[in-house]
Amino acid sequence: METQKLLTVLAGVAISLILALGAVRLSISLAQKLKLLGRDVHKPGTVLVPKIGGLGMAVSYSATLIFLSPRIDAVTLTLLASPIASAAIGLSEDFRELNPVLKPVLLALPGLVVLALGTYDPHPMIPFVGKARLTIVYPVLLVIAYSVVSNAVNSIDVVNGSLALFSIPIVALSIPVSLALGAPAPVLVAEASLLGSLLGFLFYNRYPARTFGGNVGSNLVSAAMVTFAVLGGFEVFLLVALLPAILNEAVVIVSMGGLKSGKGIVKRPVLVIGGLIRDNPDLSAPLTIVRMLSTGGPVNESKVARDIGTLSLFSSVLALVTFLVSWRV
Amino acid sequence: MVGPLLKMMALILVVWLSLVVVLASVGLIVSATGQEAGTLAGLLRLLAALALFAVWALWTLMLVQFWYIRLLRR
Repeated sequence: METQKLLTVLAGVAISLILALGAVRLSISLAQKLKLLGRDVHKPGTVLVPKIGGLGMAVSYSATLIFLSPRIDAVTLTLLASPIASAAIGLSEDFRELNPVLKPVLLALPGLVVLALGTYDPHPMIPFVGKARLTIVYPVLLVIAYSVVSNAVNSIDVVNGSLALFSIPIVALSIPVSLALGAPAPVLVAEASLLGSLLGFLFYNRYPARTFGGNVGSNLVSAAMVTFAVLGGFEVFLLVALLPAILNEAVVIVSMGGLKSGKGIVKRPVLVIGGLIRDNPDLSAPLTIVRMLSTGGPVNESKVARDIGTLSLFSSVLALVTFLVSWRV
Repeated sequence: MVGPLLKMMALILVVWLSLVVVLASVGLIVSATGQEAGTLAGLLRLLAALALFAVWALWTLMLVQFWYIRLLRR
C-alpha cells in the first residue's frame, strides 16, 4: 500500500514536471502576445519579462491532479477549486492591480470553498498538547490563513527563482508528513503535482528569469499549501515552515505603515548598483527579507534566491521537528 | 565572520522556539476542557489565548527590527 502511494507520488511529480515545462512555455508566449510584461527591477537597465508563468503551473497542477485521481470526490474538488480560485484572483490582478485593502479580503475567498465543501477537521494538532477542539474558531482562522499565506508567499516572490526555491522544500517535506498522518490519497497526488509544477516553473524562472510567476503563480502555490495542510491535518507544520515568509510579510506591512502597494513606495528596501543588490543605508526604507540578506555587502540576485531557499529548507526542517514532537502526543 | 544567512537562521530558530512555547500555551488555554464551548468561560479562554498570541506577534516584530539594526547591519 505504501509502495503504491510512493509510486503515485513519483508519477505525479514526473507528469506535472513534464506538463509544466510545456505549459509555462505556452504561458510565456501568451504573456508576450497580451503584453503582460513586468520590469525585472534587480537588473541593470530596463529588462521586461513575461509575468504570468504561474498560469502554466496552474494548468499542470490541475491536469495532473485530475489525471491521477480515480474519482472527483469532495477532497479532490477542494484541492482543485480552492487553489484555482486563488490563482484566478491573482490572474485578474496581473491584468489590473487590485486595491491593497480589498486584496486581503478577496484572497480569503478560497477558504470559503473549503468551508462550503466541509472538508476540514477543526481539531488541529498542537505541539505538546495534542489535538485541540476549535469548532467555532477554526473556520474563522482558516479563512484568515488563506489571505495571510497568499500575501506572505507573494512577498517572497521578489527575486528570480525565489518563489520556487522557497516553496519546493515546504511542499517536498509535506509529502512524508502527509504519508505519516495517513492523509487522503488525493492530498498526496496534489502535493506531488505542485512539486512537479514548481520544478518545471523553476526551469524558466531561475536567474536570469525568462518568466515571472505573477500573482497567479504565488496565489496558486500559497492556496494549495494551505489546502494541503488543512485537509492533511498538519496546520502547525505549515505555520512553522512558512515562518520566513510570514515574518517578511509582517515587517513589510509594519515598516510601510500599513497595507500598501509595493509599486507605490518611494524608498526602495535595496539598491541595485552594477547588477548587485545592496542594503539601502536609509533606515526609514521598508525592511524586507532581501534587504536583511544583503546586509553583508553587495550580493547577486541568484545568491539571494538561493539564501531564501536555504532559509525555507531550514524552517521546513524545524517544521518537521515540530511535527515529530507533536505527533502521537 | 558570521554572514547574514546564518544570522537569519539564528533569528528563525529563536522565533521558532518562542512560537512552539506560545502554541503549546495557547493550546492548553483553549482546550483545557471541551465542555466550555459557547460559555463565558470558554470565551474568556479564547480571548486570553488571542491576547497571548498578539503579545508574541508584537514581541517577534520588535525582535526582527532589533536583529536587523543590532546584528545584521553591524
